[in-house]
Parts: sequence; C-alpha cells; structure tokens
Amino acid sequence: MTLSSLKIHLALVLVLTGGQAGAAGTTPAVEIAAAEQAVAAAERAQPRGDAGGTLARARTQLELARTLLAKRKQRDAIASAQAAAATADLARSQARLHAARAEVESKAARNADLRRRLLVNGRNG
Amino acid sequence: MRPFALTLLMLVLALLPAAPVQAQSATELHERAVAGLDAELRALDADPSLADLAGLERLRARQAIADARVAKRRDRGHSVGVARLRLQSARAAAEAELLGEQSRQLDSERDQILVEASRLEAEQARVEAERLRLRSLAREEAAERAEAAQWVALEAAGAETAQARKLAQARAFEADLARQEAELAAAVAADEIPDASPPPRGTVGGRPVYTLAGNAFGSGSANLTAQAQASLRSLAAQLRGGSSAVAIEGHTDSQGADAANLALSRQRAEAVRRVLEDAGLPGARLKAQGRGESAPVAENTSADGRARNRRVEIVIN
Repeated sequence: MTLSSLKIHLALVLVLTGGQAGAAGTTPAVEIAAAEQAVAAAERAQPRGDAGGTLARARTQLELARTLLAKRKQRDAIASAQAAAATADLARSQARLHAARAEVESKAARNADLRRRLLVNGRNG
Repeated sequence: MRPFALTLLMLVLALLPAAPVQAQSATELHERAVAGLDAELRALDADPSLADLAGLERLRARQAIADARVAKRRDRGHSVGVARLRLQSARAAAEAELLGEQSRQLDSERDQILVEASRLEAEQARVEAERLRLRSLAREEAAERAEAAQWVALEAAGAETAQARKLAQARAFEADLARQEAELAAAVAADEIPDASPPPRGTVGGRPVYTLAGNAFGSGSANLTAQAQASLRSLAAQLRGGSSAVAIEGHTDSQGADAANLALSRQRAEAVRRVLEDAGLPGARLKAQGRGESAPVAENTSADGRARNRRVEIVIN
C-alpha cells in the first residue's frame, strides 16, 4: 500500500466513522419517540404566549426529525429529535411558570379581597 | 488511480494544512460557549431563592452541558443548543416551583385570614351578647325599681287607707258615744218627766199607728228629745202586755239628698226601737226600717207639710 492509498483509506475511514459517531448509543426512533413524549407532555401543560411559540418550534423540529429519518439521515434525525425534546421540555416549563405566576397573582388578589372584606370591614363593621 | 479517488485525495491534501488552525479556533469557541453555560448553571445553583428546586431539570441541564463539553466537532453546535434549552428549562422550572411554594403560602395565608375573621366574628358576637346581657340587666333593674316604687306607693296608699279607716272608726265610735251620752241624758231627763202620754194614735188599714212627730228629734239628728223618750216609754208600758209585732218606720221630708234622708230615717227608726226595747218590749217584736221621703203624708212645698212628713210611725200589727 502506497502512501497515497493509505491517505485515501484514512479519509474514508474518518468520513464513515464520523458519520456514525453522533448516533453512538442511540437510534433516531428512540430519540423521536422521546421527543414525541416530551411534546405530548408539553401539550398537556396547555402552553400559551411564548410557551405556545416554543411548543410550535418543538413540533417543527420533531417533524423535521421524522423527515430526516425518512431520508435515512439518521444522525441529523437524532439531533433534530433531541432538539425537539429539549424545546418541548422548555415549553412545558414555561407553561408551568406562566400558570404558577397567574395562580399566585390570583391568590394574592383573593387574599387581599378577603382581608379587606373580612378583617378591615369586619372590624369597622 | 481512478479520477474520483484522485480528486478526493487532492481535496483532502488541500484542506490538511488549514484544518488545525480552524479546528483550534472552533474548539475555543465551543469551550467558551460551554463555559458560559456552565457559569449560568452555577449561577442558578447559587441563587438562594431557587436552590434545591427543579432538581430533575437541573440534572438534565448538567448532563447536557457535560455532553456538549465532550461532543464531537460536528455535534458541538447541536449539543450546545440542546444544553442551552435544558438550562432555560431548568430555570423556568425552578421559578415555577418557587411560585408553587408561594402559592401554597398564599393558601396558608388565606386560611389564617379565615381563622382571624372567624375569631373576629366570634369576638364581635361575644361583645354583642355582652351588650345585650347588660341591656337586659339594665331593663330588669329598671323593672325592679319600678316594681319597688309601685310597692312603696301601694304600701303608702294602704297605710293611708288603714289610717283613714281607723280614723273613721274612731269618729264613728266617738259619734256613737255622743249618741249614747245624749240618749242617756235624754233618758235621765225623761225619767224626770212625770205622766208622759204615748204618741198620738191613728189607724191605717185597720191597724193602730202611733206617730212620733219630727220635733221629737234634734234638727238633722237622730237623737230623741227627753219628751219623746218619755212618750215612748209610756207607749211601751201599754204594749208590754201584748204580743203583737211592732213595725217602726222612719220618714223624712223631701229636702236634701235621697240617700241622706233614707239614712236619717233609718237612724231615727232605730233610735225609737232602742228606746222601746230599753223600756221592756222584747226585741223580737220590734222591727225598724227607714223609708226616707218615699211615703209623705203631706205636701213638701210648705213648712207645715214638711213638718208633718218628718215623723216616725209605730205600727201595731
């Protein structure tokens, strides 16, 4: 084997092994399934506002992952599915945050109203 | 060598000298990005308000950053992006949990408000009950005072009544004594009048009637004069042997009130009855009654007629 053919082999090996490296330890189907679960969980959180936008982005990434898988671009499909899962989790956290914020504001207003009606007015009354 | 292989080899050889420089620069950028994410995660961990919250999300973020740190060159951009998303998600989840804790505190605060309101309501109810009790007590005291005052007034009135009754009794007793004294004096005087004749006799319905004229009494009085008493003793002496019932009827004129005339006629008839009984006629045979102005024997329009109407008739049955 000459030096040139050795370099050619080396380049091919690098390309081939590099193409499989991102998929080490997982498969597109597994990542897409995980992303689907994450998107479903985010949908149950009923995100609104920016959380709704985040969820829409997760859905797009999930769809892209499916498309890439169909095109046998497994490495890119995994990456897109992982991004979809992370984005869906973010959407769910944002939805929880918004819901919690609204709940706190509602309860604070309720307590203020109770305090005014039952304690302040009650003492005056 | 085939053309394709030759071209590929040339391409690789052409890129080989520049690759180390570019790789070094990209690695530095990647490491800097990962370091930035790592710093953000540490800042999140150091935040006292968010400490110990969203543990699972933090773990995922920490794992994602670790994966990004060791990611292969072509996966670096993707892994850094995922790590950034995980980090944002961890912060949002931690803040949501913090708000959840605040929500529970607000629930607890609401419970405290309700308890305080309930306590306040109970206190107000107690105060109101005390107010009503005091008012009721005041009313009871007022009623008791009024009742006591009423009792005092009644007792005072009772005392006055008793006093008045005693006074009337005393006056009646005094009057009776005076009458008895007068009768006694008249009797003594009558004993000193010898040969007195009975009252004039007439007949009414076939029955003998002795009429004692109005001048037999003092004016407006039921006290018999000594002459009249002597006349009645004489009549009693005549009737003593018989057994006929003797009706004594007192009469007045029409002057004055009917009730007063009736009372006076009764008193005069009774005075006659006592004299006859004292003179020896059995009381069982004697019956005295007053008829007031109801049975006149003459007109009351003249002094003479009125004098005739003032009389006591002694009817022998």
